[in-house]
Amino acid sequence: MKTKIFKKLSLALALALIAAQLLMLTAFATEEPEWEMSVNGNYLYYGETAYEYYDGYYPLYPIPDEIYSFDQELFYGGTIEKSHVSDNGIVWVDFGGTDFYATKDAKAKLDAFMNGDVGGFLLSNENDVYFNAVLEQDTARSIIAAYDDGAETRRVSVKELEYAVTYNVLAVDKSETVAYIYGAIYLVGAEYCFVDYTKLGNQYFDADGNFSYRSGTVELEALGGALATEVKKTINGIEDNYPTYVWEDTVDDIYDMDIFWDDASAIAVFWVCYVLVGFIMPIPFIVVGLVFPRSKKKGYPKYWYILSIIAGIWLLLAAAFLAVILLI
Amino acid sequence: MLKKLLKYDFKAVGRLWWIMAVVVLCMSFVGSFVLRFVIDNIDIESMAFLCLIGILFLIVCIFCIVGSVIITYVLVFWRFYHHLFSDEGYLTFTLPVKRRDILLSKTLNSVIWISLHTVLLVVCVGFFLLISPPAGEGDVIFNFVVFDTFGELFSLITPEIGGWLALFVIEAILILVSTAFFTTCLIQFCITVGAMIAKKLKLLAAIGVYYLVNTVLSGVTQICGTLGTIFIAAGLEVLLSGATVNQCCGVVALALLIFTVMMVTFTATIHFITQGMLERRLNLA
Repeated sequence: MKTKIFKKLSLALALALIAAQLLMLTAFATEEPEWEMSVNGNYLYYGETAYEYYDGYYPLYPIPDEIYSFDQELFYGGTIEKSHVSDNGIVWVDFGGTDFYATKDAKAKLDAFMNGDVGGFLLSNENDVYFNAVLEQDTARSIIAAYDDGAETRRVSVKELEYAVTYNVLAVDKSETVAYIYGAIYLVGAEYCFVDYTKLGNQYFDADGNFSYRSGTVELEALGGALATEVKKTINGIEDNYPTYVWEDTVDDIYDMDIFWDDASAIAVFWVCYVLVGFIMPIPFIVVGLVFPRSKKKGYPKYWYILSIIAGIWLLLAAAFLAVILLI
Repeated sequence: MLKKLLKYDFKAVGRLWWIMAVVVLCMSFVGSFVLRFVIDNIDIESMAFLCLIGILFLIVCIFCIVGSVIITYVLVFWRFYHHLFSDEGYLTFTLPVKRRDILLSKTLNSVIWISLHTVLLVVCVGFFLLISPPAGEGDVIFNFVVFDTFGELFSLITPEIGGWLALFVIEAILILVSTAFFTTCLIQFCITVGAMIAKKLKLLAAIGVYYLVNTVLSGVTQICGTLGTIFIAAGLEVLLSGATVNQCCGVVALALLIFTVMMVTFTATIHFITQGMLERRLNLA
C-alpha cells in the first residue's frame, strides 16, 4: 500500500516537473531591435525609430559624460553610440570618423544649436576636445559680444596665428551631447585673442571643416582685463574629461554588482543570507541527527549522530566566520 | 572485512578500467604529436590532406577522452547496481558483513576510481600542453611555454597572498574530494530508490529518479547558489573594503571550509538515507 502511494506520488511529481519544463517553451524574451542602415546611408533605423544623417554647418564632436556603445557593428565596422546620460534622439556612428544621425525632433534642435541656441561653452586644447574646462557662459558671451562690437578687434593674416598656442572655444548643446568649435583663443605675444569662426566664410576652412591657416585675414579680438583673467583661470583648469564608456554587452551583466544597490543594502542582504546559510540551515541536520537514533518507534541506528556532529561543526565554523568579520 | 570488500570491488572495476586508461593515454600521447603537426603545417597546401587526416584523428582522440569519463562512471555504478540489486544481490547480502560496510566499500571504490580518472585526464591534458606547442627558439622537442605561463602566474600570485596559497590549494582538493563523494552518494541513492520502486526495469527507474533529482537539484542550486553567491560576495566586498590582504585571505579560507563542511553534511545525509534503505526496506524478491 505504502509502495503504491509512493509510486503514485513519484509519478505525479515527475509529471509536474515535465509540465513545468514544457512551460519554458512558451517563455521568450522580447527581442531587442537591431540597427539597420538604409542603402544610401542616409538613414539609420532602430525598430520603429528613424534617424537621419545630420550634416551640420560645423563638424560635431560627441561630448557627453557617459557614452553608451551598442554591441552591434554595422557592415563597414562602425559602432553606434549615444549619450548614456540624456535620451535626446542623437546617435553617432564611430568608424574612425564620426557620422551623426538624429530623429526629426533632434534635427530641429541641432539646427537651432548650429544657429546659436547654445547650452554652454568649453575651452579645450587645440588637438583634443576632451581635454577641456568649462568656460563660464557670462565670460563666453562677453567675449562674443565684444567681438561683434568690433571695438577691440584688429585684422591679421591667418599665418600669424598658425604657430600660436591655441585653445578651442567649444559650443555645447543644451543636452550636453554634442559640441562644435565656435572659435578659438590664441596666445599672441602675451595677449589672449579671440577669433569667432562662426563669422567666417567657407574659404577659411578645409574639406574636413577645420580652420585652415593657408591664407586670408581674420578679425582678432584682444581680451583684456577681467576677460583675460577668466580665460587664464579656465585654461589652468583644463583637464582630462574623456567620456566613460558603457558597453551594451556588460550593462545587463548581473555580476555587475555596482548597479544593484548601495552599500547599506548590500550589507543587509549579506547578513540575511549569511544567517540563513550559516545558522539556520544546519539546525535541521542537527535535530535529525539527534532525534533519529533516540526514536524508539523507528529505531534508527547510532551512526545518525555523526550527522549532528558534522552539522555542529558547520555551525561552529559559521560562528567563527561571524567573529572574524566583526573583528575586522 | 571492509578492506576485503574494497579489494574485490577495486579488482572488479580495475580489470577493464586499466585497458581503457592505456588506450586513452596512448591516444592522447599520439594525438598531441598530431596536433603539433597540424599546427605547423596547416598553412602549407601540399600538407592539406595529411592535416585533414590529423584533424579527424584528433576528433577521435577527443571522443576517446570524453568516452573514458562515461566508461568510468558506467563501470563503477554498474558494479554497484549489479552487485546489490540484481540476482547477485542475494549472494551479496548473505555475506557475513554489515550492509553499511558493503555500501561504504562501494562508495570508497567509486571515489577512488573517479579520482584516478581525474588524474588520467590531467596527464592527458598535460601531454597536449607539453607536446603540442610548436618548438620555439632553442627548444629541441618540447616548448614549455604553457608551463612557463603557469609559473609566471604562480609567481605573480605568491607575493600577494604568500602562504595562504598552500591553504587554498588544500581546501580546493578537499572541495573536489567532497564533491566526488557527494556525486557518488547521490547516484547510489537514485539507483537504490529506482531499484526499490520498480520491480522490473530497475535500471530505467534509477535513471528516471536520477533525472528527477538532478533537475530539482540543478534548479535549486542555480537559483539559490547564484543569488546567494552574488549577495554574499557583494556584502563581503563592502565589509572587507578596509581589510588587509591577510584578513581577506582568512575570511576566504573560512568560507571555503564552511562550504566543504556543507558538502560533507549533504553527502552524509544522502549516504545514511541510502544505508537506511538498504538495511530496512530493500526487498529483492
